[in-house]
Amino acid sequence: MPLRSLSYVASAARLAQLVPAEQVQIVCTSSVGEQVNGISADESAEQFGMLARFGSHMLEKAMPDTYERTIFAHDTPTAAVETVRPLVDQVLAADHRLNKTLRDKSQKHGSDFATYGAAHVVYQDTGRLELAEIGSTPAIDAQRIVTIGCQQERTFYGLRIGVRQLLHPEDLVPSVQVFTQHISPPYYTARGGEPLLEEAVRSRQLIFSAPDRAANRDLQHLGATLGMDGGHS
Amino acid sequence: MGKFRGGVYKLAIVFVVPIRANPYQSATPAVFNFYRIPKGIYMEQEHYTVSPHAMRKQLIRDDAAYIESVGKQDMDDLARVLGQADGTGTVIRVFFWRNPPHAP
Repeated sequence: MPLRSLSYVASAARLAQLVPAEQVQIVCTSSVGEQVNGISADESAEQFGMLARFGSHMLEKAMPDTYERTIFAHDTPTAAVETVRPLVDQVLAADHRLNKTLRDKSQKHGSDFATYGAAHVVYQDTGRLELAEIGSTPAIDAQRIVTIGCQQERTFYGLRIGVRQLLHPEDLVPSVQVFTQHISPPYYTARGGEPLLEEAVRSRQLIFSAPDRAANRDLQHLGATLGMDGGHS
Repeated sequence: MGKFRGGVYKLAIVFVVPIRANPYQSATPAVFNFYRIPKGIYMEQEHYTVSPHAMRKQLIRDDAAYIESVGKQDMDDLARVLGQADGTGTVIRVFFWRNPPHAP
């Protein structure tokens, strides 16, 4: 897990200081990841558990007001994804450009992008996602959802807009998508490498720089959030 | 006031232009605020004093949040989020879609 993944958590926490919200939910999609990408749920849980520990620690120190209402959780299987999937196919059949963009992404990563797209809709536009919490604070039922995500979420956002129009209004909750300045998702390791959370934990040294320009900017933002320029933690 | 000229009474027509306070930055919370949203309908919202459009600008300007933009199709839903001013039932979600990570 890249060190800059903490900056995703920090952005969500800051958003909770600006927009009225009862809870911040940091979600690892291990269930859909295992189903679609064949990712090991155990390995995923280990990596995300580390993020949860250090993300919580960061919030407790840097943003204590949001720390108390932030939870880390995994998704759980829901039949709603399969129900929504035909609607995704319908939207993609009508929008060739979107279809090609997602197909290209899928070939790069080897995943079933239609199911992935359906999960985006269910998790972000409906109240059907049930979470398995890490820790004792229960997840609240979402009546309104504000999702914060990186630039690459734009493609899936386009898909969600199309599918939302096909869903019955009663199945939807008010949902808002906010895009961060992260170009590459902070859970991807940037080309040329970048500081990893594991290494930071092991060496107790925080390095806020990376060869990749975009990753470097994300890391500098994280350093500014923590009020640090780098060095020993 | 009009007067007779050759038997024709001229009427002065007065246009009354309604002037209302800027709804986007109301200083005092109103019980009901009516905001015009992009789709051309009026929504009734309670207890918020900043419009979704003003909030969108505020979010983008906030360096600490590291925000680039807000979904253009979501302004009416943002109004609903702001309408629930105490945040009850509103969640902020961030997803780690692919974990463990691998090279892009």
